[in-house]
Amino acid sequence: MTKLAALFAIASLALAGCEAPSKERRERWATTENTNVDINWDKVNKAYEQAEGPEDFERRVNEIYEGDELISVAVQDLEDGTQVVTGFFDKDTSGTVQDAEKIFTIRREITGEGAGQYQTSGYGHYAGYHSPMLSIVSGMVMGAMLSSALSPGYSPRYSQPYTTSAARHAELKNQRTQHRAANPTRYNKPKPSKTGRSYGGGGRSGGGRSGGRFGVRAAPGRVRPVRLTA
Amino acid sequence: MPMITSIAELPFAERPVLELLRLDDPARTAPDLDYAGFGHARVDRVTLAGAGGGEVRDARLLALHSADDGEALADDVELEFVLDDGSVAALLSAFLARWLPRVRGDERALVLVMCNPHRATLALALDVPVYYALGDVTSWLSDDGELELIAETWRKIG
Repeated sequence: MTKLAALFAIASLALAGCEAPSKERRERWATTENTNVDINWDKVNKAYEQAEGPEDFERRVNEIYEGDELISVAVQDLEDGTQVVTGFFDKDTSGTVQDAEKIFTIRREITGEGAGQYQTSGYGHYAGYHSPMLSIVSGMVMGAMLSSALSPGYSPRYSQPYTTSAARHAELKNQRTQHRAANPTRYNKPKPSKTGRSYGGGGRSGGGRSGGRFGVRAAPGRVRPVRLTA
Repeated sequence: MPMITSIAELPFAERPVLELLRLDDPARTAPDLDYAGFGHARVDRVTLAGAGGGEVRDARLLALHSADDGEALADDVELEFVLDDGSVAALLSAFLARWLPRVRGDERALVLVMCNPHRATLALALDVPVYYALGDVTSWLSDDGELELIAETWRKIG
């Protein structure tokens, strides 16, 4: 069964190059077929935007991932200014990315002065996910990992790739354990549905609670209040 | 007729953030459209969900209410304060001029939690970034305790 699932995933990956993007590929949640472990891709993308560096990014990603495995991260800056960030299950604890271990890649490009873009793609069980090309511009709220690339004096830091070391695994697991203990409602509940949460319309579905709206509705015939000026 | 006659007299107090953002009802699944509470609170982290948003750390939230039928201004917003004995209005610029010196601490950012129905472009000169929305703003608390403010678009000043 596992081999069948793997063949299916490989076939899906091969087809991805010749098919138009489907609704499924734009889904922001992906669910593994075998382990039913979700990755919220919106949060992964946000984590990349806000990370202060690779260590911060791998901590964030492991807090997002709800499975038992640890996600390692490799960051490499290429000669043309492109940065490739790979998330992977380092099953053989080799500290190097094997194709079969890949979960996702984030490919960031600089497109001009103070501007760039990135795209996230899933692999293996997550092969159905491809984010849109996401813009990054100066002035956005972002961490040093991205913002440094937009600064005029930028020089790539990871020409020699950064990879999560085996020694760091224990620290990451400890951080994640503390995070899960601090958020029991998130980790001790049925897994969210594949449809994810909807945004817009002033509310959301999914786990959480709604609050207030910060406006005063215009009722027909109402008298507008006196404006204080001092 | 409200007894308050000046902006300085408004009861704009620091409040617990969940109460301030009307997130104190675990059963609520849709925004409370009639919520009229206002005040301020400091938070370690808040996510501004929507275009141009992101995570903001160590921020003071100023929860305010704009009037949907307020005057359409290009660079200002007409606020409305619902009080026990009636409502009063004030322009955001006048309100901030009076209240920012009173509520500011050493936080690293300010977030105006306020609908901006006429999509005014605000200009403020402060020593920390100021975030505000275009269009409606609603609040949300995720199961993992993540505080979110949802708007179509977020803008940053500074």
